[in-house]
Amino acid sequence: MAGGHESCFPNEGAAGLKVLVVEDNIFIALDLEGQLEEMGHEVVGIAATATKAIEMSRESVPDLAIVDLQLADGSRGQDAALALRAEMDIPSIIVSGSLHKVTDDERAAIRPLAMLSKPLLSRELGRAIEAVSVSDNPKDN
Amino acid sequence: MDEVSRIDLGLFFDSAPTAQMVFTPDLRIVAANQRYCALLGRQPEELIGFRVFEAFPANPDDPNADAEAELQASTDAVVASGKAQEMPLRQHDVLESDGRYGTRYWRILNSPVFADASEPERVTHVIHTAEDVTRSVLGERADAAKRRAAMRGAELSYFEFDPASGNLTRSPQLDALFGFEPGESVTAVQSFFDRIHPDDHEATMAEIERAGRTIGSDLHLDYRIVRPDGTVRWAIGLGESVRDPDTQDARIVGIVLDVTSIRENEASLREAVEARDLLIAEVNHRVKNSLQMVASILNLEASATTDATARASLKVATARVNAVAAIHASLYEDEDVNSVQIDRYLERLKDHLRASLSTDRQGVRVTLDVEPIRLPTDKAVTLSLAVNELVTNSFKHAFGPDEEGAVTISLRRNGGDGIVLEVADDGTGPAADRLESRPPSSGLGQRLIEGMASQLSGTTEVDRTNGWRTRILFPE
Repeated sequence: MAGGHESCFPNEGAAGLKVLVVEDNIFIALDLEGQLEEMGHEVVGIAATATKAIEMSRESVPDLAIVDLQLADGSRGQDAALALRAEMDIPSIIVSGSLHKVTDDERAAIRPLAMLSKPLLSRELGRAIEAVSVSDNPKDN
Repeated sequence: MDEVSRIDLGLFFDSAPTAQMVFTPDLRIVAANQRYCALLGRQPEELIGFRVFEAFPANPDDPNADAEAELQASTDAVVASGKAQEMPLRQHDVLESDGRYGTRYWRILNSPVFADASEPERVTHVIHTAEDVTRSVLGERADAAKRRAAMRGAELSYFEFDPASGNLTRSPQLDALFGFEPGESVTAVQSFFDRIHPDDHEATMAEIERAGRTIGSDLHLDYRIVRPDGTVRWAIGLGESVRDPDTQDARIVGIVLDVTSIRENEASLREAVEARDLLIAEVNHRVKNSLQMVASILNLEASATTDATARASLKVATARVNAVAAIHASLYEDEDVNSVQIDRYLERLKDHLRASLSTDRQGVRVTLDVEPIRLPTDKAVTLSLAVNELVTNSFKHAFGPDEEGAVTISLRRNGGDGIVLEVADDGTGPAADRLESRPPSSGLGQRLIEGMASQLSGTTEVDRTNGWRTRILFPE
């Protein structure tokens, strides 16, 4: 990051990112999709479980994942985010009502771009994405 | 000698410091000295000529009172042997002057008197010497009872440990505490040490050694015992080291208390608190998730609708839900779940309002002027909604699209026990709908503000000089 020239998004700059939404509640997932599209990003898919998230990432290789912690079938968002980071170096923004469930070790391994508490206030997500792309990728601004 | 010979020898008997009474072998009283009369609370004339148990009837409520037979037996033995007889320590209650029996314990000596010169071998009378030992008997009994109660009731055992020899003198409760059978005669202290929980062993040994090093130092032990059957007991040992008067060696004297039930209660209390915390966290999570879902549903609705008015209404509804939602993010931040640090919360709400409203009005700042105040949760939610309405109103009506301006949210105590919320804008530009012509955002918005003020048991004031200023005064 100190180099300042490499974006934390491997493929693209801040605009027009390919985003995977990992969220098991369909209303919230669709809302996030709407917000992301409004910001000019492309949502490559909605995954309701950790396994699905990993599968879809391998297929579509997103630039970023928005990850909820408690997923359908009891799987954990941490596990999905960790696999994305370790296997494909895809960064995550964690969005949850119980952020305290992420341990320090998990946090260190996942290196989330942001951890946002539900309920998300309007524009909170957009500002988080902007913040990382502005601070880490000055050439785009 | 002359003087002495003139004295009535009966005076010696009467003045003797011990209580004495003389009776015939058939227990008829012939004399009682002053001390005796005083001790028994009788006048000589109440005794002399009477039989002993006419003068001192047995307590009818004491089923074991068979003093008469015992006294007769002792007297018979004195008569038969011509020798003094000590009677076993015995209880014989005495009828007091008020008609009640007093519990009395006696040590009694019966001695022979040979008063018939013609038959010098015949015991004619018995001198009965009585010592009232009631106080010491009852005192000892009370002490013994106290010791027994302490040992039994409080799960307490006593020990004396000689580090040099390894001798451990102790009450039987200690053996029971460590799980030794009653018949098991354990001599080596090592057998006790071996049953101390491995995790507590080192600290316990170190503490015993430390206390033994310095005479007079206190001993504090806190350890678990693992019995042969696998059960674990918690124990506390308290004592101090003293110097043995004989050997001059250090010796540790103290008590061991079985605190298992206390520790088990503590543990289950801890578990209950942890379970409660987990439950609160879970409920908290669900509330946040549900609020997120409600906001998302409204957002989706807003995006789906093509009608501009409907979309705007949905956005207003979303903002209201968010104002409630933001309170929940502030709740459970500290121990107190019944109230909210409202100043910190307003900081968050301000950020949120700025972010959601500034799309239309880039040049408008939101400033905050609050003092630290805690409010009950329900009041905080209401206040939050009021701020949301008022700030939204200002953004909508006070400024034109490219105008600069400021909206100020202030929350302060007004000296007494009241709190004043004020939302003010400096919107005086051409776009500001001034004075009476400026309507609230909608009929609903204005009614909400009035309603929320009365929900806070407060009143509203509107001031229209230099912008728009709404005050809600409410009691704390």
